[in-house]
Amino acid sequence: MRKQYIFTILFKALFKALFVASTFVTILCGHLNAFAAEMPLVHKPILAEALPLPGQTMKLMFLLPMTKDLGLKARASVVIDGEAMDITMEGSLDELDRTFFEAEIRAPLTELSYKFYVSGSGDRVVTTDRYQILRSCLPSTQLTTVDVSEDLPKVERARLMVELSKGLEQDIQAYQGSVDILKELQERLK
Amino acid sequence: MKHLLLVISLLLTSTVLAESTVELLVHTPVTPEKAVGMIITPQGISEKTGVPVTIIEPGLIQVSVPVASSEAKKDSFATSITITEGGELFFSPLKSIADPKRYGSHLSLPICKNLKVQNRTLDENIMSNIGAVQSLLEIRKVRRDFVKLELSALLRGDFLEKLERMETGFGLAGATPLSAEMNPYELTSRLFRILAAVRNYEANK
Repeated sequence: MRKQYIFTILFKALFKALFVASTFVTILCGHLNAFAAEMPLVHKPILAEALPLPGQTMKLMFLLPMTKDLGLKARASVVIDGEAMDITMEGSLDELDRTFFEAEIRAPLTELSYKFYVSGSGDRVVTTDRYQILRSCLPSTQLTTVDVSEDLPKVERARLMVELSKGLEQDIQAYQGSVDILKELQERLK
Repeated sequence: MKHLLLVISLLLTSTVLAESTVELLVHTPVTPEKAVGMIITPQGISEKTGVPVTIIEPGLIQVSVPVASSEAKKDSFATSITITEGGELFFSPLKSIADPKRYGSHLSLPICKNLKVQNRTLDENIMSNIGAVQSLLEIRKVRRDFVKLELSALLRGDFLEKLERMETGFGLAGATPLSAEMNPYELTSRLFRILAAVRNYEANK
């Protein structure tokens, strides 16, 4: 009986320690917003190197580690390549029962900036700084032209075919991006 | 002492009034007659008249909007309105003016280079699988044609008209009409703006 009691206490202590440690690590890895002392908001800023190819799906997300309130509302003010848009974010609970918001956007050609707003907790609206990401170089958006000359040496020809295959895969993804959006629009506008 | 104070105040004034130029690209079917720059800050909007316009290529111009260092804050953006002879207005995309290092247009960015790994082992590998590489190329060509066909089948008729009406209605219309023949990157960007507006409308209704 005593052994079982000690085991329960130890298990509870371990669980609490894990929870505190995970929150602490999340806060350290992310960015604790200074404006939101009452409702800390944790967001790991997106790095330019981590941006997918232009037009590909990517996610904006943040965590509210001190609450499990799903009545809160969040939106992101996003500027993608100079085009401003307001995006409603979807809330859910993460594996540790903390409120978590995310929204799907499309990767920019060069520049992305965003700012989060959380409301629904009294009259207050929690805002973050504006995060800004600029690619270090301009990715190509030209479609691949498949032209493999028979006159090229065998090795050169093989290398070119590998390059063209990669280019074609990017083109497929680019077209697929448009198709996916059109299908969702079709569904929503029924 | 008096002179020193004068020098310091002059330096401070010149720092506050120092101007940089933010470059904005605008797609216009015709060359505009004039352009007006606008600086949008949380405090309000300021206008800059008589801003220079440079033609980059037919259909693409660059508007250079002066930004005072006091205006360069987080959450501040520059934009411009170009006016044609016929009275048509074209807005440039927004550009953040928080960081003067980023005032150049994307045309000033270097082109990304593909990292090409070339070594003997890799070449031998490719050469020994040349048949598979050839097939991969052919398969991907067919896949690209197929997905393009799928796009053309979706983006037509009543649905295309509906999207165009929505694009205009939400104030998102671009310089050219939506079409499956557009560059897919540009098309995705325009379609995503419509989708974001629809998602927002549904979330808030």
